[in-house]
Amino acid sequence: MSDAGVVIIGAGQAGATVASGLAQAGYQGSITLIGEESYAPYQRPPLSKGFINGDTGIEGLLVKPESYYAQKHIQLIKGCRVQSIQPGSYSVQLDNGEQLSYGSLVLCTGSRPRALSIKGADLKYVFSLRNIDDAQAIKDALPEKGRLVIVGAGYVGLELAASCVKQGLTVTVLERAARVMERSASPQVSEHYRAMHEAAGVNIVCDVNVLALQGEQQVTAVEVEDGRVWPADVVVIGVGAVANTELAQSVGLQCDDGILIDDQCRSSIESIYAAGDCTRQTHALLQKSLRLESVQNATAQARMIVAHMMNKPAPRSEVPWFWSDQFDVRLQIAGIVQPDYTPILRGDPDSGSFSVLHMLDDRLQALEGINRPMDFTLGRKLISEQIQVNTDSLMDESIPLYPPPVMTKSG
Amino acid sequence: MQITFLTFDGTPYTVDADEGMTAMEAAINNGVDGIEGDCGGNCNCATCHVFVDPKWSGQVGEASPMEEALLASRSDLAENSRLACQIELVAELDGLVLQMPESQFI
Repeated sequence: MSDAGVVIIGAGQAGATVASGLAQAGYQGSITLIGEESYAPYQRPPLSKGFINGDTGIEGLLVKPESYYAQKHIQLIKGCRVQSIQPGSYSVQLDNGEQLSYGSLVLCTGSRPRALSIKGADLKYVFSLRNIDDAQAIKDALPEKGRLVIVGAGYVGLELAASCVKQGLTVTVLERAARVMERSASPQVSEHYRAMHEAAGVNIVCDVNVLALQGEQQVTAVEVEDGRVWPADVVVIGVGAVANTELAQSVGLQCDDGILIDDQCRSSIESIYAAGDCTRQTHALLQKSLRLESVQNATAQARMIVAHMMNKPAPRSEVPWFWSDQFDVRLQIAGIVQPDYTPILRGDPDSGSFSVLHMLDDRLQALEGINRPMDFTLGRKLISEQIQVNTDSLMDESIPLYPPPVMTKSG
Repeated sequence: MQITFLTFDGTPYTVDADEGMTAMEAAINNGVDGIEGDCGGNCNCATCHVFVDPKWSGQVGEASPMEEALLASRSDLAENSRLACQIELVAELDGLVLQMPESQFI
């Protein structure tokens, strides 16, 4: 490896894990971690939960204490953007005029909230939620008693709704699809979450297209296509995220809704790796091209890069997994839920603890567990090993999911 | 109070900790390698797996069902396995010794 060291662009969880992993593995060259925000690397998941509630402060979000980086000889450059990459000369140009050489470059540029191009989207008190500053601005704007309208019933929107309705706000969630969490969850789970939110007082409205945000300077209402209007003091838009691939594209890295990387997280240009939300990769276990937005994906890809750079054995590929905490209920998803799988219910949804197992040809492909941690853990093993199972035994709660009962031929 | 983290080969790192924090926070705050805590101490990821020194098993107590389920995902699970994010440091745990599994070192 070149003496010029490793430069990591993007100081989110992927970038931080590459940096700390290299330091831990005894990498001898320089490690430079460049972040756009003014904070040391931090965890984003609590922003819609503990941070909004006030349970967690900025300190509690940090991946490592700020002093860690200097201690491990990692140069952390905050509040700085990379203007351009020169792969020919192995260097990057920063917006502060500085130029840095690299032996290896790692792009961890993340994703950003998808913008809604509707009238009024630039009004005051209209937010999206991606980073600390967004979350702080929302927190500051939320009145003690007032009306919050959230556009989009994905994880961010619903987690925020759960946090805010608990604080006594009037919360409405407007969703374009026919059900909540439509992109990632099954209809059974969507229905459970809709009911749960409604029971807590959240007003969930599906099948609506937001037409415009009304107001002079600050937002006062949200108008949907059929003419209905919801008064609002604060609006948060949570309609998905877009991979930040502009920098990668500017140097000709192959991208397709994400920077394309191979199984060792290498991009199409030599000495340039990528990890996290900004990447698209054929998943080693699932053999599907995926762009995943998750902590687990970010850290797994980061550790793959460290292993590759340090000539260590590659970490074992894991089934992708996700979690969402809303109210006191934990949703854990393993694998990617797809409509062509056959869903099987395990447990009684009315009890508040159940799983939906998604099968293809007697093999488990994905699992959604609601307050069902053991199903989640054992289901991950079943998905990863692709063992043929008897579907009747999966429905029987007295039998653990793993190891599965031996298949016997009847008759 | 003080907590000692042993690497898989037995090298001790003794760190200062405050009552009320978790063993994971004590490790992270002091830059101890071998405790990852990817999920931020939420009992979600099992990357802060530790083996409790047998002398301390009684004081540390048992894992919750959620924690037990996550521990079950570890191939290096042992009888004294816990997740460091679920060990709250109370006064009686001053001097606690926790060993970190090899798999958490790159």
